[in-house]
Formats: sequence, C-alpha cells, structure tokens
Amino acid sequence: MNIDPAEWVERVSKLALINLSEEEKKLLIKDMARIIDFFNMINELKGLDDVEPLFMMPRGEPVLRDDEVGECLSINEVLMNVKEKEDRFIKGPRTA
Amino acid sequence: MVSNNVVIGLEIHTQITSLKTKLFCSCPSDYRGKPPNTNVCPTCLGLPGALPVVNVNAIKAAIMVALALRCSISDLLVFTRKHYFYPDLPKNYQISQYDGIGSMPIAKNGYVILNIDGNIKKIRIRRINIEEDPGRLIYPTGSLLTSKYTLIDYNRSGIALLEIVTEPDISTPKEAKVFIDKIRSILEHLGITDPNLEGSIRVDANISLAGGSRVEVKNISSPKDVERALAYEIIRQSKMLGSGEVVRRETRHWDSVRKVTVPLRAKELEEDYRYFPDPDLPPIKITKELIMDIASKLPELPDQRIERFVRSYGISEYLANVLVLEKSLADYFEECVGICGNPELVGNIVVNDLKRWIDELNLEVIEAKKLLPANQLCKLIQLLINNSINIKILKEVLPKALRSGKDVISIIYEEGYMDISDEKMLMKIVEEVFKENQQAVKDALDNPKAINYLVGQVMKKTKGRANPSITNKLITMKLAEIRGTPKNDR
Amino acid sequence: MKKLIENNITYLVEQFYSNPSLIEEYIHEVYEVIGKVEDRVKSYITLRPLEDVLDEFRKLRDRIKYGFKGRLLGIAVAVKDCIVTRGIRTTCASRMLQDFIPPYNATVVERIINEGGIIIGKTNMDEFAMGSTTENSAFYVTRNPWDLSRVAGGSSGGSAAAVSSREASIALGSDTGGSIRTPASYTGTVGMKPTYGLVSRYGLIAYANSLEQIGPIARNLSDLTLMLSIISGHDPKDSTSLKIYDTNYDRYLSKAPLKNYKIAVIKECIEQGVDRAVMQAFNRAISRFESEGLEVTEVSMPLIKYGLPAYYIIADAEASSNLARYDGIRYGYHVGVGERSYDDVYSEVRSYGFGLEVKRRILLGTFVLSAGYYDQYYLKALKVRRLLRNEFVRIFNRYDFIAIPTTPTPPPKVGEAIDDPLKLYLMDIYTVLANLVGIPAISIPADIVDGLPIGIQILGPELSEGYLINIAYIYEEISKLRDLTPPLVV
Ligand SMILES: [Zn+2]
Repeated sequence: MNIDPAEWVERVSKLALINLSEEEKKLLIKDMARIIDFFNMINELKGLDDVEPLFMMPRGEPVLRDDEVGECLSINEVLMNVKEKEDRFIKGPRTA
Repeated sequence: MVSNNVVIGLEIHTQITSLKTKLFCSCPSDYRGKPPNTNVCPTCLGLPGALPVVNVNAIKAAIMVALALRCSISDLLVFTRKHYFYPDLPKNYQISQYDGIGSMPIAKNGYVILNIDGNIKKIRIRRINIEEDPGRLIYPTGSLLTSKYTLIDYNRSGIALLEIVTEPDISTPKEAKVFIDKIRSILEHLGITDPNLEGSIRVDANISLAGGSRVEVKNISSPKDVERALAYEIIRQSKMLGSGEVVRRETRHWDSVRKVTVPLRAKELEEDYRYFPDPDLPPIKITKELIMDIASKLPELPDQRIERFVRSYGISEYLANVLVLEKSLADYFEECVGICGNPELVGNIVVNDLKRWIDELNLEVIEAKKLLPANQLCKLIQLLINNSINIKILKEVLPKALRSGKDVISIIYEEGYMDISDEKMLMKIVEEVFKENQQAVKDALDNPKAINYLVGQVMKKTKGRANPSITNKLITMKLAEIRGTPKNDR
Repeated sequence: MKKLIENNITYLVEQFYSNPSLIEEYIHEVYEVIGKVEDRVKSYITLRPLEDVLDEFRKLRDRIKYGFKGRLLGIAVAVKDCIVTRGIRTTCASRMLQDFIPPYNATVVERIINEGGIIIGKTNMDEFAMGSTTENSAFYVTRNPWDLSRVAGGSSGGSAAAVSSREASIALGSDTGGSIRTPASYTGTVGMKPTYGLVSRYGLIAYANSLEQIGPIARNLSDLTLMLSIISGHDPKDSTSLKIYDTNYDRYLSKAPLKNYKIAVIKECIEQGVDRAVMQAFNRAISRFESEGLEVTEVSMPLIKYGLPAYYIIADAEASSNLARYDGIRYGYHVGVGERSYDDVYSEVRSYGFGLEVKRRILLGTFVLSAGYYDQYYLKALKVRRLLRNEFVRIFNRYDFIAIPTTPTPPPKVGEAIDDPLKLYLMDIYTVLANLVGIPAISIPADIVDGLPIGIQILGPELSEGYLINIAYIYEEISKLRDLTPPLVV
C-alpha cells in the first residue's frame, strides 16, 4: 500500500474537520502506517468477489412507525445545552 | 440565444406535506409558523443516543410518486448517510439514499412526457430518493453569502423530502419550467405535496454549455425562477465562453431578489460524501403486494385528467393542459361545469380571465375559490348566456369579486353594469317610493300622468338603472292594488 | 453481620418489600463503600449526591405504600456514561460532552426506573467507548479493585469496577467489541453482550451502531439474569430492535443442563499468543465442564484472525460518521462562533473536544469510507464479516456453544499498553467476534490465577441467552466463583 502517512493524515483530518497539533500529527503518523498494514491483513483473503458484504444484522420484521404525532421537547430542553442563542434561535457560525 | 448546445438536469426536492409527522421521528410536520426550535425531539435535533424510525406513510408516498413517474421501484428500501458539515444539519450527515453497493434509491429509471407548445418531449427520471430536510438558517446580518453568523431553527429538520433527479434531458429554460410545472401538478394530484406551502418544492439545476463544465445552481423555489436562473446562466456562460474564458465546475446560488446567480464559497477539498448504509436503519422489503395495492389506489393523474377533459368536456387540449397544471384550478373548473355546464366557455373564462387575475392579484387558487366560489362564477356565466351582461362586463366584475369577495350580483348592480329588472328587487324600491311620496301616490291615483313623478323617484333611487318598462308596470300594479281593482291577469 | 449489598438482588428486593426502611440502610452502606474505595478505584464520572438518592428512596417508599412493585426496588444501579440519563450529566468520558445534560432517558434507563431501580451514578469508560482499558477516559483511569496498579479493562471499566468493589449492586455497560466482557473478565464479574437487537440502543451514544449492545455486568448469574430480563425486549424507538417480547430468563437458572450441551473450542484461539495464566484458567474451566459430562471438542476456524482488522475497519467507519455531530453548536464543548466560518469553528471544537484515540479512529474511519478506499477496506471488511458469520452458523449447526478465552492476557498494568494502539487493539481479538456476527456472548470468571480473576467467554447462536445463562450458572455452581470479593473491599 503506497500511502504517504503524512499526506494521508493531512487530507483525512481536513475531511473530518479535526485540527491536529504538531505533537498529535507526529504520534498519529507514527502508528498510522502500522495500523493500515494491520487493516491490509484482510487483503490476504482472496476470492471475495461474490461474497455479499454484511452491513448489518439482517432483520426479519421491519420496525416502522405509524404516522402519528408524538411529543416534542420543550424549548427549555432544546436550549439547555446550547451556549450561544438569540431568543429561541441557536446561534451558528457563518456559512459564507 | 444558442440553445441546442445546452444540457440541463434538475434535482427537485419536494416535501411530503401530506404526512402528519417527520420522516424519522414523531414531531409534527406542520413546522411553518411555529416559534423557532419548538418542533424538535432528540432524534431530529441529532442529540447523542437518539435513533431514527421510518414513517411508514413516507414509504407509501414515495411509491406513489415513483409509480406516477413510471419508475422501477426497488424491492429493498435502504437509507444511506451522506456526510458533510453544515450548521443546518444536526448530525452533520443527512439520511438519504444512494445508488451503490448495498445501497439503492427507492426508485429509478422513470420518465415524464412533456407537451411543449404541441411538441412532445420525454424527460427521463434518473432516480427518486427519500431523505430528511435540514433545519432552516437565518442570516441576520445579510445573506447566505455575507452574514457574519447564522441563527438556526431546527423545526424543519427531519421533514420527509423526496428528491427527484432527472437525466440531463432538458435543453431550454422553458422546458425546465414546463417540467417543474408538470411535476408540481403530479404531486398535487397525488396529494403528496401542497405546492402552495412556502418552500415545499425547491429545485437545484445543473447546466452546462458545449465547451464548458457543469454548473450547479442551488435553491430555486419557483418554476418561474428556474426559468429565469437558467436563462441567466446561459447568457453568463455563453458570454464567458465567447470571450475565451473557462467555465469551471462550480456551485452557484440563485439570488431570487436580484435575479442573478452568485458563486458559493469554493470548498477546499473535493466533495467526498462517504456514503454508507445507515446502520441504524435496517433495509426494509418493499413487496410486490404493497406496490400493487398502492397502484390500484392511485388517484387520477394529470395526463389522464387532460385526456378526460378533452374527451368528456370537449374542450381543447390546450385548455385542458392549462387547467390541469394546477389541480385546484382544474377542480374549480369541474365544479363550475357541474353547476352551469358550458365547459368550453367556463374553461376559457377560467383560464384566460380568472387565472390571469388570480396571478395578478397574487392569490392562490384556493384563496380565489373562497372569494369567488364556483356558484358565483356560474351566476356571471348565466347572465352572460342570457345576454344580461356582455363578456366585457364579466371581465370587469371578476377582479372586483376577487378583491372584495362580494356577491357578484350586488357588484353588478352597485357598479351599474346592468338594468335592474329583477321584479322583486324593484318592487321593494317601488314600495319605498310609495311610502315616502304619499301625496304623489294620491295624485297618481287620480291622474295617470302623475305616475311619471313616481317613476322618476324610482330612477333616482336606482341611479337610473331601473328598467323603465318594468318600473312602469310595477307602479301601475301597485296603484291598482291601492284602488282595490282586480289585478291584471297574468 | 453480612452487609446488605452482599446479597443478590432478588433476595434484597424481597427484604425491601417487607421492610422498606432497609433500602435506606442499604443506600448508606453503598455510599459508605464508595467513600472508602472510590478515591482509589475511580469507577464513577458522576456520582449522584447521597441526598438526591435518599430523596428518590423516599418517593419510592411512598409508592410502595400505594402498591408499587418493581424487580429492582431500591437497588443501586450504576450506568455507563455513554447511556443517556435525563437530567444527569452524560459525558461519554469526553471533554466534548463534559457538561452535557440529556433531556431524555435511554430506553434501558426507563426500564430500570420503572422497576424501582435507583441510578446512583454514571461510570467511567474509555472516551466514546474507544478502548479496552478505560485509560482513554478524558478524566482519569479506573483501577482494578483486585490490583490497583492494573487496569479494570474497558471500555466499561467503571461499571465493572463499581460492581466488583460493591460501589453498586449491578451496572450497565455497552459492548461494541468486548467492552462489557473484557472488564468483566478483569474484575471477576459476569458480563453479557446480548444478541444484536435484543436490547434497545435508544439512548446509547453511538460508537459503532451495527456492532454494539447494552448489557449487564453483575457479581453473579442471578443478578445478571434479572437485569437482562428487564432491559431486553422490543423497543419501537430502535429500528434495529428485534420483535422479542418474552424476556424472562429466570427459568434458565437451573443447576442441570437444559439440553445435552456440546461445546466447541476454537483451536486458533488457544494456540498462540495466549498468556500462561489465561491458558491455565481456561483449561481449568474446560476440565470442569468435562467433569460435568459435557462434551468439549476442538474445532478449527482459520478465518478468525481476520476478525480483528475487519472489526476495526467497520467500527472506525461507523464511528467517524457517528461522531460528526459533535460540533459544539447544539450541545457539548463550545467555542464562540463570533464571525467565524463553520469549518473553522467546528475544527477547533473537535480538536479540543476529542482525545487522541478518538481522533485516530475518526481519521481511520474517514479514510476507509473515502472515495478510492471504500471498496478496498470498508466493503472488504464487511465481506469478511459475512464469511465469519457463515462460519459461526456452521459451527452452531453442530455445537451449542463456543468457549474461548475472553482476553489473551490478564489485566495489564496501568500505562503498560496505552502507548501502542495495535497492542491495545489485540486485547479485543476474541471479543470482537460476537459483535461482528451479532451473537450473544458471556464472560464469567474461569478461575483466579496469581490473585487475579480470569474470564472465560462462552458464545452461543443468536438469541441463545437463556442457554448461555444456563451453562454459565452450571459453571458458577461447580466452581463457586460467584460474588468474588477483591482484596480492596475486605
Ligand atoms: Zn423530531
């Protein structure tokens, strides 16, 4: 696997919106190649083309919801963990 | 405008407004007008630990639309997470659908036939997704492009949406508009979406010109604006191409106030949505029985209705097309015809006059219906048929009725559009005049010539609109009654 | 006199009914123990003030007067801090959620409260359940009550340590890849990961949705069975919940085998890389089973070594998605938005809020889902998962149970493994199997070697919880390894 760990950490941390300190970068890069190698173990297995991936445990009867109105949270409950608000709005960062 | 090298594809996002609750939680779906953040629960607020459970009626609604758009329906319903960070998205992923390994949209490969000024055109539907609506952002210090911060209202978060994606089969802005009009009409006829609710249908348009890259214009809310935005883009892009500039792949925003498209901030990285099946939502089998059941209960669709209008009312295809474009207008038409017949005449008046005023006065058809119920329009049409009024008067009465909601007959009399020949109404006035002019009545009893004074008084009261001969007859009758002589035989 | 807390729950609850004031005595006893050991063990992140708990007791006492019945009446229950509790801080051992107060209860919490249980605190864990030693807690390490220089295991280390040291009668943990069974093994307690979908995940803060289950950690089989009976069963709020309604497992607490059990031992799990002490305990357990006349056979499953990498790929992928929601806007660690852009704000929040191991798994998960790597890692891991599931089905066609060590080593010293992520991942090698294929597994004390308890893990086919309880109970009876008391408590 030709992945440059430093480049890799850079790209993925941007996708995941995680800033890394130089120290963290060093630590992550150090182990990343080993972990990816460990992941690559599964590539030893051949002949998987026809195997259907198992995303989740199969369910027989589906759990569905009838279209009936239930209770909402109170405005106090909605805002109790919000740090910045204006009236009942939650303040968010700019999108521009 | 060179249009033969234009390629347009549309993504229509339509809320399933027929549902009582959101897609994955039991919060009410009628979020409009509620105070911010009062229509949410742990699930649609994306609180840690909360889980989604599918609204069964959302599946049925999606199948109805899929059938109406002649799509093939998946035998498995799989929800997929689409990842991107944005303040209106509480989980920073949207539960949607995707076409890939282990994932599939609920329906794909459909089509819609358009009739564009008599030309038939087929627009293919690539897929239909069920997905959740994000919350709503307010931009307190400007717009999406300039506001220094945002205010978030999650009341809309989790509302059930259908995303209808076309193949790039559309070649003019006009076609795009006709297509969206038709989809709106289909959704309305199915009872899935009330297109009159603000924001219930939103469109993203992809457009590319030969020699340029694909440009996406996001967030257009009316069919007319889709036409405008696309026309704007064609001019903008062809100017660029004409002067040798490169049209890059980008996403733009439709500014519905300034009627221009503006570029959105370019992302640093290429989009990578990292789709994978949502492990909180196991796939659900969609059985043939369910599809058949829904198909058998499908209401009349616009195309069938147009055909029926032509067939059973004998109106022109054009008229039928315009009527059916808005279900409520077509319903109104049928109601009127049920009362007063004359489909051709009613159709023409509804389409050419009434609809024009509805648009002009910025009304919805349903509002117009309250101001001018079908029986009211029919009264006018009866008068027209009886030659009591002419078409010009009818056309003048329509806006007055739509503005005031008054009874059409009162409008006609008040505005002096017609002689008063209604005997009952005139008799009331005659009686009033008799009461107020008792001396003149006495005179008239003796002197037939003095009758003219009484007639004059009736004319005064009706601003000269009383039908003279009927007035004369009624006064004579009244006088005879007073004399006690037998009435004329009838 | 024997302390109240030393009794099993069913017995205690009976005593409480006849004499409700005993509950108060019992609560004081529990808080006394906590006062004595908590400084050293560090089981709890949030411990409810004694006064609050006594308040709850008083309310409970009043309800008893009106005929209230509950199978957990007055019992002190500790709940892992990734399970939401209404009004009680729930941190997931992360700075990100350091002050998060959930406005709702997890379904399991509701069920415990409905049975009269008293939640006395929220237990320490690896941040977002990512770890096997509870050293990844953002707050502090939980120590093993058997040897304070050693870890209690993870990620439900706080729950296991609390139960083992009598800081609660019973606890809930969550198990994504061994997080109940590993700490149970390390602390001489019993812990079960139920069949995927048997226990509602509603209110469990997600790490890897398709793998994890909530389950009980107890001092003995009787307590574990009671708690499992209470928390199991269908929940309409969890789409992955099985439609199981009969969840009373009492009848499986039988000293006699309910079937002619056949046990398979997977050769690959005992061949190499297993510590001497673990092997010694494991062999002891197997010979006890054999001496009871149960048939034990070695079988081979070469695929087993691929379980661990497949597990980490899948778990990290799901984690990267689940943890996207932590952006500090609606809850959690917050930085002022000022006039900053969302990616700027979110990046800062996430950089401060998440610890190194969480970041590592988010990055790895993002990687395996990203364009170009999805097929090679994520899809392939899911294929391995399918093959493993087929293998387990094959084995369970011939055997009732699989017995393997819970972990390859006894509890490591604090700090011994934490700097090498791969070394830590290897601790999960035998526990991830049950999560990957969705089957139930229980860890019970196999023996005590060199003063440390060592667990054995028994796996059964889907929904075989009853039989697992039965065989575990038989082992408890013959080994007398129940209510094990760490030296700390004496
Ligand atoms: Zn909701």
